Amino acid sequence: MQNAKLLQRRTLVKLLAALPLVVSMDTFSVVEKNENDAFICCVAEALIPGALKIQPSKLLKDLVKVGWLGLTENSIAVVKHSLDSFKGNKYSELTLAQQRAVLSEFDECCYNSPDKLESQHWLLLKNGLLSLYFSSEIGASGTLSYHPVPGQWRPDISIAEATPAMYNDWLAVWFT
Amino acid sequence: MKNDYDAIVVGSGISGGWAAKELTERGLTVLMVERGPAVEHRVDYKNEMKSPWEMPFKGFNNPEMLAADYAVQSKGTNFDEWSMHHFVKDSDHPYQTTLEKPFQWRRGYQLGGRSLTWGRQCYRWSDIDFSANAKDGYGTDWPVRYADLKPWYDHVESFIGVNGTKEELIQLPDGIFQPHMPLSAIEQLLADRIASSYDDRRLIPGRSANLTLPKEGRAPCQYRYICHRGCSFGAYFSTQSSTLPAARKTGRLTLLTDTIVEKVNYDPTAKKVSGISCINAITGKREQFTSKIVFLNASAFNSVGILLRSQNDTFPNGLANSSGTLGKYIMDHATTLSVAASIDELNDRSYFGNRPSNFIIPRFRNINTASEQFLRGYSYQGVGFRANWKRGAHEAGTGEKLKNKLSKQGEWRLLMVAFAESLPVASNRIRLADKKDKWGLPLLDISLKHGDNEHKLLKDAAQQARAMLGLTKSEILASFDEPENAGSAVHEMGGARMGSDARTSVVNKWNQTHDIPNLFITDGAAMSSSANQNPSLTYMAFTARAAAYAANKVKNGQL
Ligand SMILES: Cc1cc2nc3c(=O)[nH]c(=O)nc-3n(C[C@H](O)[C@H](O)[C@H](O)COP(=O)(O)OP(=O)(O)OC[C@H]3O[C@@H](n4cnc5c(N)ncnc54)[C@H](O)[C@@H]3O)c2cc1C
Ligand code: SF4
Repeated sequence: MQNAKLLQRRTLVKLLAALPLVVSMDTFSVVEKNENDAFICCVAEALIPGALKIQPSKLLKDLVKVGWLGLTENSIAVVKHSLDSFKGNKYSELTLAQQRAVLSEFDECCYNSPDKLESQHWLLLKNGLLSLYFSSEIGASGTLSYHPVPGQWRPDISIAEATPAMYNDWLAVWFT
Repeated sequence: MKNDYDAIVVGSGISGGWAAKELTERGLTVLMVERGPAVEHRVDYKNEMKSPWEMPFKGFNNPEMLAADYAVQSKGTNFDEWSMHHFVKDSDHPYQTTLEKPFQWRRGYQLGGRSLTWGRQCYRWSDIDFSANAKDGYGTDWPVRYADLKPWYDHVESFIGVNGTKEELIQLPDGIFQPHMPLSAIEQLLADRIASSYDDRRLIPGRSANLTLPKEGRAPCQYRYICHRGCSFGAYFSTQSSTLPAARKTGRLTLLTDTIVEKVNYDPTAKKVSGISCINAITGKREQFTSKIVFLNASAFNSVGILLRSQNDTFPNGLANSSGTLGKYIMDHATTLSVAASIDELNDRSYFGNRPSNFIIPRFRNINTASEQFLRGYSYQGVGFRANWKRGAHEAGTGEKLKNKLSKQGEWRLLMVAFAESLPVASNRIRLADKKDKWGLPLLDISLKHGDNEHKLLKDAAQQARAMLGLTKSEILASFDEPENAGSAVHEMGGARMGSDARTSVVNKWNQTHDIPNLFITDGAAMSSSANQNPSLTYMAFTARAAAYAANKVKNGQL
């Protein structure tokens, strides 16, 4: 197919499947636990203001043990190492405003160089934190509009009526 | 519990539920035997009402467990953290599949079978489908035509409740419909553009077994789209919501769960089946039951497996297999995502609710004109929707700006999945493997490879899908033209095909085996071709029709 975007689905799947292999090859030491917790909380809050309320480090602790959404302790260690050295200062010791600015720049760099190891790990962590937040009661019922029972199907309404976004997005179907 | 019945029905899924309902309502005492555990309507839908934050893995599951226990089941729609217990544990129910592209056998072993998890799309087959084998010589001619099934489609649709629109298409006969679930704004836009650019095709609302009007103890759909968890409103058709209550109401149904049918017993003197031999799935205890007739509804490949396991001196190659075709000519629609696109139109429009259905573009190839490239055809099922918060991980952005953006709906997206007809060929087959499961029963060895015709159909489907999306201001995100692994359509069928010649087919036009008059196979095993439509409505119609025939014969003392 001519269009470069038309990647065969199998190729995509293979790329994703290869990811844990890349991850296990690097040798970052496991960071000290409390420091790790503080780091997760800082990153989560800079990524989604208000995320601290869902206690992201507590929630993630057990989830990463099983590689939830492809996320491992190693991913967190790689991102921590990258962010700590990104501007020469330890990330969790920056002010919140500085953390937001640094994360924004780092995030941008990762999307510009998606093949880099730290980019791959950041995308996993970002996806994990977004998923944690929007699956939490605060994120789903608050920021979004979780309707377990929408009760009706209105096929064509004004976009102004359709925000916040979600009615119930946890559908086990291929298109979400 | 007594051991003798008028009829035994093996399996309690979509077709077994229908067999039990029809046979009991026609006055027969019925034993319905189900290998999996009981799942009672409402009370056992344990995750139905749970929000994501109440789930241990927030709805995204434990990948270690998936890899260990659900390697096959997790690779498809309707499987998630809420519904995983409605699918088999692959680790407990292995099978063999020999090709480089393994067959993906998705199953649910519980009361209700896959009626709990199915996608509910319901389409009639037409005479184009029932005469396809005769026309091009693949497979054996169906001994029935649309006129034979039409009253039974009417009967089934009236009972289960199917929503849809009347379209007067020769390739997709209209049915008895409840009011349809309308197209979303973006789907309607594409439908209009297709209508003004093509004479041969149409984008129409899907036809699904979700109620839009209340019906006998069942409430209309609440637009949640979490049907695979089980629905306490009873708003979609399942054994639990519909056929089981009807069968129970007669007082003539005995239900046995956690009981695996090992084989169907044959009496060589009477030249009839006498009943079944079972294994208690929990205790391993063996038991036998007798009956005047046996209906096999264990799902296409499992019914074939039971017959292969039931070989005896009279039928050394499998029960009712004098033709030698048992286990052969298996099929599954060749399917793939023909196109996924983002659409930059109607940016001021949206929708509310989760419609548990989709749109379809019925088959348009080889209807009025004949293609020189391929036989038969394909249809699309698709959906137009707005991207949700998950898009946040795919693009740069952080902080308040990201949060604000994700709290609003994303761009329009449109997907079209093609379902191409699978040709019946003898080399696609099931047989018994040497390996055994934990109950000592031989595993099934499944070999199904999509052929050249299926590949050509999906190539054309991808091209045509892109061309149709080209009628909108869209960007193509993905487009595939190779079939996914066989089995991924979850429309596996064949293996005990229907035909008028006892030398080349297993069942006759009444789903009755040619060899043994009191043995009926009315699930997907009996299919002689696959068409391109979702098949379960047709299994239900055949089952109801065969049950009426068999009940009559039993009452007249002929069986
Ligand atoms: C995710 C998904 C989406 C689908 N979407 C659609 C759709 O939109 N439209 C459509 O037409 N079809 C769809 N299907 C396919 C549909 O589910 C099947 O065609 C249908 O369920 C087949 O009915 P059945 O009665 O033959 O088998 P099942 O519903 O699978 O029931 C078979 C039953 O037999 C039991 N059983 C098996 N072996 C034995 C044994 N030895 N002893 C006792 N009991 C046994 C099983 O435990 C099971 O309960 C879908 C399937 C899935 C999984
Ligand atoms: S979408 Fe409708 S049928 Fe499906 S679970 Fe919700 S109410 Fe039931």
